[in-house]
Amino acid sequence: MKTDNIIIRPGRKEDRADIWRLLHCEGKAAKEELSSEGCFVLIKGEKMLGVFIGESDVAVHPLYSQVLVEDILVKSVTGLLDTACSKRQMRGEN
Amino acid sequence: MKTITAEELRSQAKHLGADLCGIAAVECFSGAPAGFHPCDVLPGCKSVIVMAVRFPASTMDGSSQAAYTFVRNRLADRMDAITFQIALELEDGGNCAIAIPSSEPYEYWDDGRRHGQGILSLKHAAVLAGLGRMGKNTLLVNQLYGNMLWLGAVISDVDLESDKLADYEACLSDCRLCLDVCPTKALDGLTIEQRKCREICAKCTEGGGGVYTCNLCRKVCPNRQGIRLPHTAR
Repeated sequence: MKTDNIIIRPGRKEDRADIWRLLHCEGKAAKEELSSEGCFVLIKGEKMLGVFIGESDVAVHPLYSQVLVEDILVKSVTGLLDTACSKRQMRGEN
Repeated sequence: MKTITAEELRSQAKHLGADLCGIAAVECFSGAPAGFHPCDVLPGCKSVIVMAVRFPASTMDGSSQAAYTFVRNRLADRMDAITFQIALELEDGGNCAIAIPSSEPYEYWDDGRRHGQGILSLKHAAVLAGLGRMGKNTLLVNQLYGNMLWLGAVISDVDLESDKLADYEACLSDCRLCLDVCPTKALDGLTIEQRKCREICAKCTEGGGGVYTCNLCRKVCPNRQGIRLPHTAR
């Protein structure tokens, strides 16, 4: 899979329908109301390739490699969260 | 007034002719987009009871679209009769209950996109009620009956426990048969572009009446009549 033009960003309100479909395609139910905190989406063009919710719940578009997309999502989100956590720690926040 | 239990509902659905019956508590619909939430239809809804009737297995073996259309229409009538009766019985027990149409009428219709939407997505409700998983052809796939099912639902304020989600895979990991066979390329593995599908899926005959002329995405599925082949990670 070419990774050009692939972005990862926090989920938005307008992503709800796509997130809902991705979760259902993998036989998962959203455990709580979706919020931008703790919800990240992987987007290529206009297509949502995957979603990361909560601490580790991932759903991937059925036409893309589950292993690859999940790997990108987990590493990216974990990296983003680690970075944010480090910045907060450097600022002396909890 | 008598409170109906999940087991009694299941038993009654089977007695009325349903082949499958599952329950999704309304909490399962958290995160649903607008228009997909049962509380959009019935404020105070606590449970969605989803039922399915099966197609006669030989339906897809014939070449007559009229025969397929006849079965499809009878299943819709049959399912609507079942959900209608279940709703009445829930009301007799003192609950609010609304039967969801298994096909028409559409309340939402976008003429530009030729996109219709029921008042509740029965396929998504069926996933949440544990009746199966969504295939790449966007049809529900059940372990026992494959995609040869017609769905219906009743939403109610009766408080029932959810069934477990299905733990099997709907599709073979690298299978693209349904996507490749679609004459208008209406499928993307997750959704269906209704405008493209409607170009060919139905027509009016010269003698009057409508027939469904394409069901290839249902027909070519290796799991059409139940999940027979093992899944491997994609």
